[in-house]
Amino acid sequence: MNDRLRAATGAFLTAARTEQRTMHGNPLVLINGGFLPVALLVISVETQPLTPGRAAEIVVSVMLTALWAATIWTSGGVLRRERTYGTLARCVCGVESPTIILFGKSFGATLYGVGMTLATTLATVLLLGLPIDVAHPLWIAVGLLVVVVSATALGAMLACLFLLSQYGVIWSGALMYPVFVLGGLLLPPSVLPIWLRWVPQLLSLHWINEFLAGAIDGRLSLAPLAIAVLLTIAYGVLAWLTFRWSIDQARRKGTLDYA
Amino acid sequence: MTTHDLTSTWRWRTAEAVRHGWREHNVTYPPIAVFFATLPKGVLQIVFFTILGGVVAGPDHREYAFIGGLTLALTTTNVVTVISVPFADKYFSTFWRVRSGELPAVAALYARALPYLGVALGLFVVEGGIAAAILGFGGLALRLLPWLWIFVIMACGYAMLGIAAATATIAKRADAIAPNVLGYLTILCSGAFLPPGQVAWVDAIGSVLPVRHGLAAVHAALAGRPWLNEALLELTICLASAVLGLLAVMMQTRRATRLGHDDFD
Repeated sequence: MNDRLRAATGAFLTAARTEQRTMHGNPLVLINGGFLPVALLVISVETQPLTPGRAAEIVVSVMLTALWAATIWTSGGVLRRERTYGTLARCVCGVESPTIILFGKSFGATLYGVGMTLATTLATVLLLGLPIDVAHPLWIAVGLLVVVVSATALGAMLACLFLLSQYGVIWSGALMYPVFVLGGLLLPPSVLPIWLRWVPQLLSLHWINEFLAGAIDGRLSLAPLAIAVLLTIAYGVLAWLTFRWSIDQARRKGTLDYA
Repeated sequence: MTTHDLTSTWRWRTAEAVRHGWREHNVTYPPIAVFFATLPKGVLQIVFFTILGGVVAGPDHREYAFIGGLTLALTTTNVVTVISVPFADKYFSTFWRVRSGELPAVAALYARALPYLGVALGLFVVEGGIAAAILGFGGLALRLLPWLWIFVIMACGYAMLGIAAATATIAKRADAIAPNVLGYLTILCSGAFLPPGQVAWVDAIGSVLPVRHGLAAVHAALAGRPWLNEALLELTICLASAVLGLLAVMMQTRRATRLGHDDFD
C-alpha cells in the first residue's frame, strides 16, 4: 500500500514539475497572470479616489479575477496542449492513473499562475501606493492555500471540457467574461438581476473573495472558506468523472492524439 | 499588356487574396464558434466594463464605460482576430509563397485581413445592440450610430498595428504576447474606462496608440464639443500603423530571403 501511495505521489509530483517546465515558455501565463491584474487594478483604483477598505476589496477581487483568466489558459489547457504535442495518449495509457497525471499537471500550472498573479498584484499595489492594512495575515495565507487547491480542481475540470472540442482555444477565450460578469468577484452579486444572483454561489473563487476581504479588513468569517472547500471537492469529483468520460469520447472518435 | 489589363490582373489578384482570407477566416473561426463564443464574449465584455464603471466610480460613469466597453469589444475581442493571418503563415509554413508571389506580401496580408475586419465590424454592431438592450442604453446606442465611421477608423488602426506587432515579433516566440499586450495596453491606456488626465504615464502611452483619439472624438461629438482634431489624430495613427505593418513585413521578407528559410521558430 505504501509503495502504491509513494508511486502515485511520485507520478503526481513529476506531472506537476513537467507542467511547470512547460509553463516557463508559455506566454499566456505572463499575459493573464502578469498584464491582466495590472490593467484591471490601475483602471479600477485610479478612476475614482477610494477608501483603504474599498481598495483592499478591489485588490483581492482583481487578483482572483486574473487568477480565473490564468486558470482557463494554464491549467485549463493542460490536456489540450498534450493533444497538440501528441503526448496525450501516453499520459492516459501509463501505469499510474491518468487522473493523478491530470491533477498533477493542473497543480503545476496553477502554482505558476497563482505565483505570477500574486507577484504582479503585489507589485502593482506597491507601485500605486495603495493603503492596505491586513488584519489577519495568517488567515490570508490559509485562504491562498485554498485558492491553489480550488484553482487546481477547477482547472482540471475545464481541461476535460476543452478536450471535447478542437476549438478549445476559442472556447477558452469565451469563458473569461461570463465569470468576470457573473462570478461575484469585481462585480458584486447585488448588481446582478435577482434571477442571476445564485450563479456566483457556485464559484469557489467568489467565496474565497469574501473570506479574503474579511481577513483583510477584520470582519473574519470562516463560513465562506468552508463553502469554498466544499465546492472545491465537488469540482474535483466532477473533473474526475468528466475526464473519464472525455477520454472515452476521444478514444471512440479517434481524436486522442488529434490536435 | 495594356494598362487596363494590368489593372484588372491586380484587381483579380487582390480579390483572390480577399476570397482566400474569407475561406481562411471561416476555417479558423467557424460560424458556430463565432456565434456561440466570440459574440457572447463581446456582449459580456461590454456589460462587464459598463457595470464595473458603476461599481468603482458611481452611476455617472456607466455611460462613459459603456462607450469604452463598445470600443474594447470591437478591438480586443473582434478585430484582434486579424492577427491569425500572419500566424497562419507561420504555423503552416506558407510565408515563402506569400513573399514570392506577384502581389506584394503586405498587400496579400492586408487583403486577407479584410474579411476578418468585415466580420469584426458586423459582430460589433450586433454585440453593441444586444449589450445596449441589456443595459438600457438603447438611446445612447442610436446616438452613436452617426459616429460609426470613427469606430471603423479605430478598428482599421488597431488591425494594422496588430498585424505589424504580430509580424514583427513572430520570429521571437512572442507572437502570442504582442497582440495580447496591445489588447491590455488598449484596456489600460485608451481612455475606454479610465478617463484621460488621471494618470500621466497612461495618457502618454495611450496618445500614440490607436483608439484613444477616436474615442475622445466620439465623446466630444456626443457632448457637442469640437471633435475633428481628435478624429484626424486617430486617422494619422491608423496610417502610421499601416506603415508599421509594411515595415514589419519588409523586415521579415528580408530576413527570410537572407537566411533562405521561413522557419520562424
